[in-house]
Amino acid sequence: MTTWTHDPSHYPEPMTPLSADVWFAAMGHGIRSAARELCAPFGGFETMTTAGGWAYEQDLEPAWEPDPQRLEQAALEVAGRWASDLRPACWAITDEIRAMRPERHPPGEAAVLLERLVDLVREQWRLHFLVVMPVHAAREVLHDAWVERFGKSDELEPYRLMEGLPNETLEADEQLWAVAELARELDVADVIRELPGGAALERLAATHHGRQVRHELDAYLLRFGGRSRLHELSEPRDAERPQLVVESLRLMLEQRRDLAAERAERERRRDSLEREVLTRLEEPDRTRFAAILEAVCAAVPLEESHAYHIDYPGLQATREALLGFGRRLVAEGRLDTAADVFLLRLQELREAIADAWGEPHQMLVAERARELREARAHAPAPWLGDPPDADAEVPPMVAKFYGVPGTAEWNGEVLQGTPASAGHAVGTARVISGPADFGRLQAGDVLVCTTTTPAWTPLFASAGALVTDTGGILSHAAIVAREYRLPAVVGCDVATSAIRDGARVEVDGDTGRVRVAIGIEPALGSN
Amino acid sequence: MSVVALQGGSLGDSELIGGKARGLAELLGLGLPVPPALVLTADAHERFRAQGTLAEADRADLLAALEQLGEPLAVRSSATDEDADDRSAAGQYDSVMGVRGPDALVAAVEHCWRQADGGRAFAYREGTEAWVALVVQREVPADRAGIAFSIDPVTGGDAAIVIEAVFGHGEGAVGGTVTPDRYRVDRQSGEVTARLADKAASADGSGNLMALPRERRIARTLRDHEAREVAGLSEAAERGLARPVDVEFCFARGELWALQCRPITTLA
Repeated sequence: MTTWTHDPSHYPEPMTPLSADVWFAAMGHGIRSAARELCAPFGGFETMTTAGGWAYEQDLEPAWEPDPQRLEQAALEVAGRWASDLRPACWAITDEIRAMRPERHPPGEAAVLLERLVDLVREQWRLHFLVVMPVHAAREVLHDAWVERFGKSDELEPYRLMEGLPNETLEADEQLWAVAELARELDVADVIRELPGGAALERLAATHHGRQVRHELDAYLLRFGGRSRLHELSEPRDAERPQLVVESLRLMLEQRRDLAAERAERERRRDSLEREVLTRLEEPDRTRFAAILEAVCAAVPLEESHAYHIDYPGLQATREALLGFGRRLVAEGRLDTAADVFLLRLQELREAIADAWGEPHQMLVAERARELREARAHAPAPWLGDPPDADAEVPPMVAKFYGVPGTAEWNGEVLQGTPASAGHAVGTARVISGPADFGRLQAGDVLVCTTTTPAWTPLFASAGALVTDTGGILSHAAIVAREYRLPAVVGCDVATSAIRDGARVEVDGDTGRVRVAIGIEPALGSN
Repeated sequence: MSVVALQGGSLGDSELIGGKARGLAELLGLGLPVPPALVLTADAHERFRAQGTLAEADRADLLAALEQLGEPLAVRSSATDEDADDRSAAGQYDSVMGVRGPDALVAAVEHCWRQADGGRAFAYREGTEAWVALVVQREVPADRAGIAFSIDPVTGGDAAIVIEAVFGHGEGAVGGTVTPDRYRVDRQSGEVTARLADKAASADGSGNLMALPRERRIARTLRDHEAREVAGLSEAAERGLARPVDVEFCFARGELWALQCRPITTLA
């Protein structure tokens, strides 16, 4: 049986051909290789994109005997391996990619460089999953150790010990927050609050204090500017369009908070919970549990932090190198814009590089752009090939991560999704489709979206609550919402279509209920 | 015989083939890549002037030789007066580019001679009577073109080869209408330093300028290895001619061609 399924939470938009062939294929390869090396209980998946660029995956059975002990051992060791060899290996790859100058070489050497780039991306994504799989397993190791000792009163309880740990997404927030604080101190916050992002940047550059703020913003972008809305390689990274980051700054300026104090409070809570839990255990089990807890708490922050050492810098470098190949074709007059390179298939790029000053590609690129536009205008089929087995059990790990589509309920007034982060909030719904839309969110609004990626986290600091279409209790949205103590309901299936932008909504993160339409408020800056 | 295939080495009397043809023959003699060409010698011009049309025998010779060259062709004047070298008289005589087929070729030949007899070239030569040979050369479809100077044409320094290059045919660079990229290739180390210009347009084979897309305007015309290849070409020409030269070159699908070679005369 061959079933290809589309995962809207990870691939909400069609991919460009080159991004599919370079990154998406490398990701599939990475997950399969890592699963094999770790003797995981799943085989990973094959990847495929349709002509219009919609991504599909086909789950594979493991071709090996799964060895739970091996994955568990990897989970307990991953933090150490990360520091000693995985992270340095990832940076070595990124540095090599960054040093590439595809437009300077003769065709033969450039062709070799392209193959090297493709291999490096594959290797980096193998390393990626050698980190991420054990990290996910680590959560479950602690989950199981907890349940074995204490049972559980609700789904989220075993995970509380893993909340409040510092990670680099929170660090990114704090560094951006510090930029906002500096703008306040230097009395240029008004520039950021009053002007649209791009204009604010120009105005800041025109004054001495403004330039100081820009200097700090640049420092932030150097470290975190590899983030983007999607991994898609044609997508510009934050560093390339800092005006979007200015929108996040504006949101931060609309509130007065003390992020450092909040962080300290989270850590204090976690520490006291840990002490309390450990006193409930007798030796020698206490020492055993404490050791597991320590290893897991070292691993869990990598769930966010790995991306700042693999996904963001690695794909940013890959994007820049591919643009170099694009400039090569621009110099040859075969593309008008370097970014059009993403509309070529990898094989077409290979041939174009080897065959210097050959056929122009402008017509092909225009046709591909049209295919992408058309694909974007229609929702993708949820599956291709043989129909998926409706009775097949969703593995618990997968359900926690992706959610189980089709399980939410909507009666026209109440939306029942998966409770993901406790708390209660009432606010104005803002249906946000992407970073271009971030500027519409006001402090305290209920953020309604398909799903979130780390590029969205600056919104968490100012939103009043979060409601998503997809994802389970271990999805990015759920985990980050808990870190921010933001009431959240995930996996609502239809939230972005059922909830009207501007509607008053009531979010109950304990029960997973979202009450809609307590009256409509007109949305600021929307029609 | 009024039609001579251009080959390396001595072509005999430069009175008959003119300065440009001799320059090309010299490049060929040095083993440098020159597009295939033939020369319609100056005595054919003499007969043309007498009859007002290309003589029948010359026409037959020309069209027979044509089969060896292929298409399209460029027809360029090659002046026979002895001080042509020193004047670097490029562009003083008309050329016709993009010539296809026998009829167009004959028309191009007659056009060039009429220009030489009556046009601006005549005035430049202060009325002295001169016979003009014609170079009929296979026109390569240049994607980049330019001029390499074996010494810096401004400072006279000889540490580096200086190359100016544009997209398309060389008319843009030669005519000065498009600011070219400038490359310096160090003679000792082979190191390439580039200064890219905002090249607003590229020229086609007939010298028509076409605007370039925004990103291409500042794209590199030459890759490092290509700049070194051009430098090697002009060093070889300089060695062979035993004096500083500038060489017009072009690339067609990655292949380097020498189109013209002149002694550098602009030095004070």
